Amino acid sequence: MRVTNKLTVDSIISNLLRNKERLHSAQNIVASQKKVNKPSDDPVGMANILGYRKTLSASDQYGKNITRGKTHIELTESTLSTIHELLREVRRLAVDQATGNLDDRPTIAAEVKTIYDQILQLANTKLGNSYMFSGHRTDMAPFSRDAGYNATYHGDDGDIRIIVGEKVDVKINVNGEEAFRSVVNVFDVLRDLINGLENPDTTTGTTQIAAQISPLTDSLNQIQSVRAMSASTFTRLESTENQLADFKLKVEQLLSDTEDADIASAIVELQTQETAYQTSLATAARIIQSSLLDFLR
Amino acid sequence: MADIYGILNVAKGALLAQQRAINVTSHNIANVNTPGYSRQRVNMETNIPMSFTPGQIGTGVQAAGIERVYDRFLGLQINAETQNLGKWEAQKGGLEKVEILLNETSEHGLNQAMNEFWNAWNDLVNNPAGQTERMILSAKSDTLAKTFNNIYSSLKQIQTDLDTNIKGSVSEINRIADQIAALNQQIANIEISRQNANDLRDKRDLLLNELSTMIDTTTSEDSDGKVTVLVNGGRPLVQNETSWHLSTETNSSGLQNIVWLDGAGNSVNITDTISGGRMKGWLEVRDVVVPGYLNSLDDLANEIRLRVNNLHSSGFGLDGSTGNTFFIGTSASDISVNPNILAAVDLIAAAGAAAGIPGDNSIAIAIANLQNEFTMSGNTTTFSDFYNSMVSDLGNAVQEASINYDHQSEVVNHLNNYRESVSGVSIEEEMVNLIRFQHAYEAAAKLISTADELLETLISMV
Repeated sequence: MRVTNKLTVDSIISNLLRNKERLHSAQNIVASQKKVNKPSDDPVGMANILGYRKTLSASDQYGKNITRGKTHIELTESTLSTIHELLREVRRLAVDQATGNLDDRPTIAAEVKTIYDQILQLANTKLGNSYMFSGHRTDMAPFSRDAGYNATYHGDDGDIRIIVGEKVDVKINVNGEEAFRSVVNVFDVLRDLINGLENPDTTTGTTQIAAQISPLTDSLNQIQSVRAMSASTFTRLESTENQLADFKLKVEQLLSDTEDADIASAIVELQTQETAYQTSLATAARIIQSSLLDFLR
Repeated sequence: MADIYGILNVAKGALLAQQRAINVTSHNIANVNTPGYSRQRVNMETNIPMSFTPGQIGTGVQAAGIERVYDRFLGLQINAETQNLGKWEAQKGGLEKVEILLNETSEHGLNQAMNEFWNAWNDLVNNPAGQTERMILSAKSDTLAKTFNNIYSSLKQIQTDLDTNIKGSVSEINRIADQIAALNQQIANIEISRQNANDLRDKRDLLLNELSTMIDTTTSEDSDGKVTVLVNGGRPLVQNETSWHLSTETNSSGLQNIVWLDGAGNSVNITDTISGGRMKGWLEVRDVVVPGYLNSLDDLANEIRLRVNNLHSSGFGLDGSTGNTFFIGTSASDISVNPNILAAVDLIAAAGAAAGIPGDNSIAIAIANLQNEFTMSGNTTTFSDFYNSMVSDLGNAVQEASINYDHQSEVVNHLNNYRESVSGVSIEEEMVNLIRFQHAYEAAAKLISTADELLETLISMV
């Protein structure tokens, strides 16, 4: 083949450019630490990367949702547990009074009234700006009472649900209906007890008090059963949270495998390309200089 | 004439021939870097000999002609491959622009905007009455809509840019056609007197090659050295000394069609017959690739709008209002959040019933769940998978165009090297020739002085 000056120069230029381009892309991989820097680098990988990112973003969100649900349930649980304690105290007092001890009835009545208000207040607990036990009517205190200790429920039986996974949602609230009014109306039982304690006719009063012991036990069971329900939801949330953490770890690993460059081999590649580029520079410098003219002078 | 004067004549002819050769050598050296130049050489021939006893005696040398060293077939092949190269080059360039637009590697693309949009609905589920959650949701929704708008208008911009390129190339093609027609005439005028129009032919070949980068043509050369250039479909661009022009006409989608003008005021649409050169690459991206992505983007934006609106308008806002659409618009270009919602976030409907306000979040849950529902492509894929496969498709297209471009430039490069190997000027070769011709010239001069001495000897005898 006849090799002319232009041919030499052209091939030097195109070789230099090609080596420089390879060097550039090797540098890019080392600098960004990613082997997929644009969709055309790995079209299938890119689709996977975007899918993994969506999964991670959604998983983070589910994690947030679950934390929020757990807070709600924890507060529900601690509130109901206090109410349970208070009701047990009331039942102890009622059992005491039903077996004849008549002296302290006004004091006991006052104590039960205080407990009534305490329970009412607890039933009106807010998480943030929302009342926890009013179903959907979170802007309204669920319970109020009149002077005769008749309680009114202002909430509804609405469920508060959160999303814990792809198309999976879980009920996290206990409404006032379930906790205080489903089997027995806790506030009515307390009211009847107060009436019994305050009955001037102590004999009738004792009968009234005795009649409330069984409903009080039912109230305790009622509270216990909603607590059990919440607890099982809580366990479910916790196990979902753990699964999510494992899942996230796996997806992160997959994302990293698809997207991240293996730094060691990327650097080796960079050095190889650097050497290649320098070699082509050195070769070019030697070839481009020499000509017959050097020897004719 | 086989006498001393004959020697003088031979020497004179030799001087002239060697001088011609040095002239041509100098022309070659001067044009070592001229694009499209083919090296030239002098054809030296012996003159007609004279018959004597005992035999014929030569009468020296003459420069019979100057011709360029050129492989005609190679030129045609280079032009054909250059048309392909131009096509892939333009297609690659256009696709890479689209790729930059849909580049999701930066984590700030449509995929991210969609993720944040669905997450904001999740946050509303967690606190359906929360003002902060509502504000964030309306902001994220606005971002999503604007991301759609931006990508759409940038894709449109690419289309417009390509249109501008196409228009520019049309006038470039016309300029080249005019020049080729003019060269046709000049070459024919020179060659009618049996001369070789070497430099003009080089110029015309260069123009034909330049034309090949832009559009696919068929060329043929007739016996008097004029080339005929036809665009696909048999419409002439150049014939003899006449050139025809291309022009553009706005079509129904507001883009430019390429038309051929017959010179009598009629135009013929040749857009669909173009199959090579940058023109084809640009047309491909403008009329097939970009509209495809615009459609996909529209499908995605419309489906999100319809699905979200469908659920949202059945729900109730914090203020008790119902029937509000969440997104308005008709395509990816103009999708936006209902301005009433942007102005009053209480309108966002999280509740499924008026009685459930503010704690009911059933509508918010249903909308948040849309993220994972098969909503696209005939209910077979999710929103984000639909978009992801769109990005992946684009990646494939860019990769394909790159590979084709690399391959094609390798082919053209190879052919160009081959052409250069045949027609290119080698300085070494020219230097050697120069010395060769110089020595021959010196020797011819010596002939004259020898003839002179011979004559002197002869005269002094008298």
